[in-house]
Amino acid sequence: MIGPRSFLEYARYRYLKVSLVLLLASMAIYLVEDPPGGRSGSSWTGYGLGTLAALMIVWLMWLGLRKRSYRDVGAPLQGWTSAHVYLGTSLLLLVPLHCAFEFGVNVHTLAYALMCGVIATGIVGVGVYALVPTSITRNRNNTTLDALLERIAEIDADCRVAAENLPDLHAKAVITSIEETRIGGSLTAQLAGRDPACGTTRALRSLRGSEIDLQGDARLQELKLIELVARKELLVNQIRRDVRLKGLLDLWLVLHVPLAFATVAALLVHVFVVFWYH
Amino acid sequence: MSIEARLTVVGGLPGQEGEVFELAIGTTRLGRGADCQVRLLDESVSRLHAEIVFDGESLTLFHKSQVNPTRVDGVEVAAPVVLAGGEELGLAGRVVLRLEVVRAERAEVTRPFDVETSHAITTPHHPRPTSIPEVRKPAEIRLAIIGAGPAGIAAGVRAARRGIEHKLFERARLADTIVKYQKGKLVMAEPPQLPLQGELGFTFKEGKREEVLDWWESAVREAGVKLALGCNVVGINGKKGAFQVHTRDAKGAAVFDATHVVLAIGEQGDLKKFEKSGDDQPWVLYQLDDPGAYEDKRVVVVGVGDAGIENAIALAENGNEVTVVNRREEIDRAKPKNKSGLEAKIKSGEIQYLTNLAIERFEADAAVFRTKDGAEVRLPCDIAIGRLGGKKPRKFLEGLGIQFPTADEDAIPDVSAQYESNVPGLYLVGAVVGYPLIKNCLNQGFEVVEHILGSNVLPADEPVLAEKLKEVGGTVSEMLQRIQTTVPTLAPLTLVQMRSLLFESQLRVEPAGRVVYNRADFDNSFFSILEGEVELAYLDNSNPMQPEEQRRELTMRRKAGQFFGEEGLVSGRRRGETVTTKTRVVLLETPRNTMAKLARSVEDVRRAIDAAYVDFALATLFPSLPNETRRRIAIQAKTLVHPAGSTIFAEGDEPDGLHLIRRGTAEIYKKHEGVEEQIRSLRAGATLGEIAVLRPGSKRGASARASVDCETVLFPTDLVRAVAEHERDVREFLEAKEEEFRIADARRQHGRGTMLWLQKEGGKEATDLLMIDETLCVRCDNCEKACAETHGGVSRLRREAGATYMTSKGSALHLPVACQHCENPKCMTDCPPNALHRDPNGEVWIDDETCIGCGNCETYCPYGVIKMAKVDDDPGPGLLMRLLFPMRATKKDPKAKDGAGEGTAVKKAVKCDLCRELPAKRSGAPRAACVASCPTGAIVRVDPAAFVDEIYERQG
Repeated sequence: MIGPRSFLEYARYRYLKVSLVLLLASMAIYLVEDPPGGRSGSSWTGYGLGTLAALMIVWLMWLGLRKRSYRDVGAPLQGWTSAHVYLGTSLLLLVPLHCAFEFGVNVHTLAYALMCGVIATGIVGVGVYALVPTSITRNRNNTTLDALLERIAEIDADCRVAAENLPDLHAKAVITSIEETRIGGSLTAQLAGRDPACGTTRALRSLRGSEIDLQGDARLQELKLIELVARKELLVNQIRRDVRLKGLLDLWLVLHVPLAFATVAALLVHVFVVFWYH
Repeated sequence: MSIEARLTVVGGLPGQEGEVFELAIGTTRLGRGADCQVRLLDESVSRLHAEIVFDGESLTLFHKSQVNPTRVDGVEVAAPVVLAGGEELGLAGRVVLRLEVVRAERAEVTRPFDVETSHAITTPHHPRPTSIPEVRKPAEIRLAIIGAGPAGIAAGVRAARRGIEHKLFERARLADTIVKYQKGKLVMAEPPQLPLQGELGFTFKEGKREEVLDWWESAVREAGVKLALGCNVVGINGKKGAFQVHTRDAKGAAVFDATHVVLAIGEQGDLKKFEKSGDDQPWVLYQLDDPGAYEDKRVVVVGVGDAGIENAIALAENGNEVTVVNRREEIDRAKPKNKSGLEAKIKSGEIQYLTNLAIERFEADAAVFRTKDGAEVRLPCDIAIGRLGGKKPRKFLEGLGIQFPTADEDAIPDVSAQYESNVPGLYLVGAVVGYPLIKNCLNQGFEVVEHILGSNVLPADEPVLAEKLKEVGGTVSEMLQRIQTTVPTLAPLTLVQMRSLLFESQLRVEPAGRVVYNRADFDNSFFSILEGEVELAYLDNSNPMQPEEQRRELTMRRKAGQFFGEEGLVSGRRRGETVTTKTRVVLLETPRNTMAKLARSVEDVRRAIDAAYVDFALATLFPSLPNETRRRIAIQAKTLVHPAGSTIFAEGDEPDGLHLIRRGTAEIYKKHEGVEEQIRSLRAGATLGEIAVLRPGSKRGASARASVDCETVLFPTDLVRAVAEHERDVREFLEAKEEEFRIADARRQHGRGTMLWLQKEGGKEATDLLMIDETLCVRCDNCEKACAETHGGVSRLRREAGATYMTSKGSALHLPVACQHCENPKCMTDCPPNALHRDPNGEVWIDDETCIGCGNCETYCPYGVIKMAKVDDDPGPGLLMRLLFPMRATKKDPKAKDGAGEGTAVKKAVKCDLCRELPAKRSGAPRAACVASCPTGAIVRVDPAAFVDEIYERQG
């Protein structure tokens, strides 16, 4: 294999297979065993599966460290991601097997609920990772963010020159376009991907609605200016879409990581409570 | 002959005053320690303070103390120093020793390399002075030194100290090149192993621009060098003993009578002038020191090289009204950044731009140009700046009667061991004879004056060369003679070239049965066999359809006097053969760059290497060809040079013959409905144009073009047909090639664009491409972070920049800007300290210990993957600290163009080194941090050729 393959396919789905075997084995043990006090989290199977699940959670959290260990000589990070996704998802079933499907309104079930939140956001993440990158490539259209920004700066400079010998209205429109065009900003602004109050859009509108009747060279200059501002609007919106798409790529992580830490906290309480009160 | 040497304590040590130490041959240790032969009992002297190496002929001082300095005649020394005798050695400030040398009769003194003997045994390809210098008194000499760079300064200081009447002419300022450096720039002392002549009379070591200038200025002042600054030498006539040096400066013309002339003029040459009427007006300039000095002026800048563009932009930004005049149509000699900068200014109207104008004359307030159709264009202006490029000094030197061995623009004039040119009495030193590094220049400036006096001065590189002989034995001069008598190819080299060759090379003694290198290694060096015999094992490549692992292995022998490794030198390809020693051998191993430079300046060397290359290529392609047939073909073959983009042959042409690519890459394409479609891309070692050659009357079925600068060996059609008639091998080879071509053409018609794209985007030269599948890339930039974290805080790849291609399968392949480890790395073209290396696996890397930050490689790289940056070796805070204090602990911005700004003192060249310092994978393949740190596996390193096949496999 030479070309890249998705982390989901890593090593011919090695970690999907590992997770399935793990789940099947756990279910088999769960079904075969019939402890004296009935199936519960406090049976030996329950303790065993619980310990396994807790260790897995610690290992899943370790990805954050591995990702930043750039000199690591072990398996590539792609393998870690692959294992993270499959083993993480398997917890969805492994944990109910551990507690013998006993749920209630308590800290134990809270830990599970938080974990489900982590897994759900993770699944969203996998989906986002599958869908968004191609859109970014398409939207970027073989250029870089820096190049786009540079082109906008050039257009701004050209607009200033073009407006030099035109009436105040035009100069004002250029200033609006230059000074009141915002890209990004708050989370909602970033995710919106557009800005209805965009200075460039307003500038274009005011130029097109101008009632000043220009003749000859001045009219040609005005047309040139309109073209420049229209081009800038396209570029600005292209960048906004880029910001939006990158925001989408990261948004799930904003939930996934804090939820993961909350899960670990709840897990610690859960373990403490179990061993203190039982 | 031998000399005796002794050290006497003359000061600073009351208890040992007057004590004498005889120096034995070998290493003598000086210091306080009990194991020192010269034991000096003073607290300030280190246990091992210095060493003197004495080989019976010469003495070299090595400073060893970490704490206190060693001085020679009051000058502090860091690098090894050759001692002549009579010096006072100062140890740690107080202790002073005097070195006395007792020589045998002067007449018996052996010169470092006896010119006459060497001429008896070699056949120089053009005349070279053969006189043995006679001993002269300083008073008999009147010396003109031209050029006050390092070589000129050293010569001037030496001449002044020796009491020679002299004058040092300089058209600009003292050490002008260094004056022009930016403030505070570090001046390197390269190469580190080269000692300086001990009696140089002033300090030189690595230091800031200001320090270096200060050392040199005070040396010139203290020695009483007679300077003529701002003085142009316009001509020299007369002959040895009676030269007239004609000069012109602000005060007018003058003549200086000299017995000897030292030319230390560097390689920069004169700036080209307009040479039109009126160009002597003060507002017609050729240089712009400070663009800030002009405001609100009308400026005409002529020339669109980097200098012209930089001047124009700076002047425009300072509020001047700037017009740029291009004498031609295109802007093709400027860096892309300058070109786009100029274009932006033209577009915004800040700069007016005119093309295809030739300068006609200057009037009192205007420059007058002429268009191609003869119309006059008058541009009123206050200042005109001509940035017309430099005139290489060759013309000037040829005007003096100095001969160049070849027409090649890199050729350097031939000089004797005493630096005397073919014109008696005219001496050449420094960059102009191929030594651009300051230390060489200083030594040669010193030595040339001593040579003119006829004194016995050993070249400064003597101890370094002697060191190389350790295993082989003998003296340096014996070895140089031995090399030239044994290896006929090297016989035409001058002594200066021989010394330089040995300096850069290694002598290797290997027992029988040792592998020198393996087939498919990427390797730099070229081997000359001085003794013994080696066997070359190579593959029978006569059947192109046969997979490589099934090909037969063949062998040939090469013996003393011959060489091997020429394929790597010519083509830059992987080794085509495994070389094993058959007997004990002595090999001279020369780095590729050194040999390539030599081949460019010595015609005979180039010819010998070329012939060996063709002979070997034929042996691998047609193993059954009898030796004489092979030789007959080799003689009739012609080497053709094809600049990048030029056509090698066109569809429908009468075939001119069979081409063998010896360097570069060529592409074969067909025109289909007016659109060019590439069939295949061929690298060095492959043949081109087999189809039409075999069948009389047929025409070329496709076109071939050089993808990059390319060289082919052409075997004319008649020759190939004549040989093919009798040689089944040749016929079968050509027939198999025809079939191969059909298959490639079928693939083209199948309509896959990937290969075309890959080749368009630079894959044509790559041996290792970094590629991102953008459908998998989540833009986390962990690749850049990983690269920066493992490489001193500076990422060597730019993820976002680069081209992207959507395949028909829907994946988006992106080539980030990162080194692709080219087949023929252009970056390696001209690295003064040879700091660029190529490992056997193909990775091209820069040794940041020896890199001097000159930026040549950055300029040469066509893909913009090398940048100059300050590298920080501190790995930074640990992982935990970075996690706990992400803001504070992130000391480096991986995207920063300059790195952390605190690392190395100077900017050095950095680029991808394939993480050669990280532990490799178990398979031995390099482990790239960027690839290992990609969470989704989007980024991979691929071999472009294999990758195209992979695409075909997956899609077909």
